[in-house]
Amino acid sequence: MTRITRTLIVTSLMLAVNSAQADVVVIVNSNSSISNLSVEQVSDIFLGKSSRFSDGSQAVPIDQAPDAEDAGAFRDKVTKKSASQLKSYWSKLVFTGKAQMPKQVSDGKEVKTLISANPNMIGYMDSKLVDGSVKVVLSL
Amino acid sequence: MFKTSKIFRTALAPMIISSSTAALGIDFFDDRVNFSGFGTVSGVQTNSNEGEYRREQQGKGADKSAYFLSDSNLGLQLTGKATSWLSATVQSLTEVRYTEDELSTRAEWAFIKVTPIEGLSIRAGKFALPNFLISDSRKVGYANTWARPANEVYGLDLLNGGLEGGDISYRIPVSDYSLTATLLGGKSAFTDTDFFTGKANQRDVNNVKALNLVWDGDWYTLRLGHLRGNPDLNPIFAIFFPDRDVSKEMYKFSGFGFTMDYNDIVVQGEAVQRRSSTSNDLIASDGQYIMGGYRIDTFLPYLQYSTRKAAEKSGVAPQKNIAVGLRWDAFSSAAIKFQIEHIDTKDTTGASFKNRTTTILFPGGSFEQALPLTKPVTTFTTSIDFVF
Repeated sequence: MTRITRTLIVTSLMLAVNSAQADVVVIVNSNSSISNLSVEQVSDIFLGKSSRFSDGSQAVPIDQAPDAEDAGAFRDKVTKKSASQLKSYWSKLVFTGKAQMPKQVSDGKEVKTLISANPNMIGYMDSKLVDGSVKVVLSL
Repeated sequence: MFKTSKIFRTALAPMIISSSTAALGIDFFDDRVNFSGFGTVSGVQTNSNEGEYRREQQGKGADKSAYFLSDSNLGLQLTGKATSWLSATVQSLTEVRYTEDELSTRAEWAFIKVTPIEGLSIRAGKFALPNFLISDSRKVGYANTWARPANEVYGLDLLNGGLEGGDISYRIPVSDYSLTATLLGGKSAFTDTDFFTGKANQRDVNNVKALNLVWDGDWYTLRLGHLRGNPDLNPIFAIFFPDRDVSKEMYKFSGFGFTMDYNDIVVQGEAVQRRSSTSNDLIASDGQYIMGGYRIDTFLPYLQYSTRKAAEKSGVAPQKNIAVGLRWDAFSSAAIKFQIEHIDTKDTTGASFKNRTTTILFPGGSFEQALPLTKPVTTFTTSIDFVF
């Protein structure tokens, strides 16, 4: 019984840690007029299919380096492609002049720094980093 | 000397200071200019000396001795963004081209693009013709599953001069999917081989017009396209075929294709038709391929069947190809590929070979006649595709 309880506690703790890691939010500048975006809308912006928000303003996606923790969660839930699939997808668009790959930064803090200074940018980061300088438009 | 240092100060120094690493390539001038590239290093060998296996009608190919320039290439691209709606792209490509037997570097792409509103883009300049599902990115090995596109299909289009002109493209969202329609117009070129000397010359194809429709359905893509143009045929053609009005010749190329990537299952297929308004007996031909693969982590083994057949009772030589291959995403920006093909030309000259020839004499001259292959050929390809 005690063993089972212990196992259960350890398992639930592990699950809690996992879900905390995967708690990624999509953010825009706090002054942006955008308040809500669907997974499809965010995916379109990050896959170069769409370059503007629904209000017509320019949308500039900021990605994280492929090995960043948030990047893995974002790929699983939004673009639904592996890192190498994404690179292959982008090389098709870039080398036919159709689109430019999103700018990549190393972590969520850098994403926030950029987005808090630019009303056209959109990015994703750990929800724990959220403060008044950015606005959450989608929780993953 | 003074000039060099001035150039350095005014141009290079700020470039170095403001450069940053992009996801692909390097960004300069506050991310306004991006320099990136792609390439392939590949070796091909076959089990036959009856003909040389070629990717795109190059002047040389692989036989029992390996050839390293069938697929090998290097592309360098510079993209500049003036505003959010105006950009320019220049891409150079180094490869062995149609009819040539050594590497040459040319500006394959040079265009200005305007995107005035969401979904609408207008390009003017020089770029690739979108005659296939992946025609404009077929030189980018890294972007594709296979080691090379099925020659039975991708070798069928006779226009090899790209397009000098413009296109207008509009993407219409339909719920979560989209339809992109592209209309293009301009000038292209084809290779004319002189009947007597066997010497190859590029000749113009004028009034090229095409419509391309692409349905993007999340995990699958469908493509339908049609192109036509007036080739400026060699005057000798009119002497051989006095009953034909070759000045009105209209070259037509149509294709349907699909690709899907779902739960690590990859399937892709295309069917294309090549036709002529006056000379179907010489060029009418149909090509198809189907490729299927399954992704296991970084490995993607695949199987492909492709075929080219004469149509409208033409004299075009047939070819059948069964290929098995493996794409291995061994590195973050490079993939290693192995591909084995079993090519059956059905005792004809086939589609992908530089055939051996015999000299035929006639009163007052001679010409070189290509000899058929008597046995199917097996090819072995190993390549590394990379992007940076």
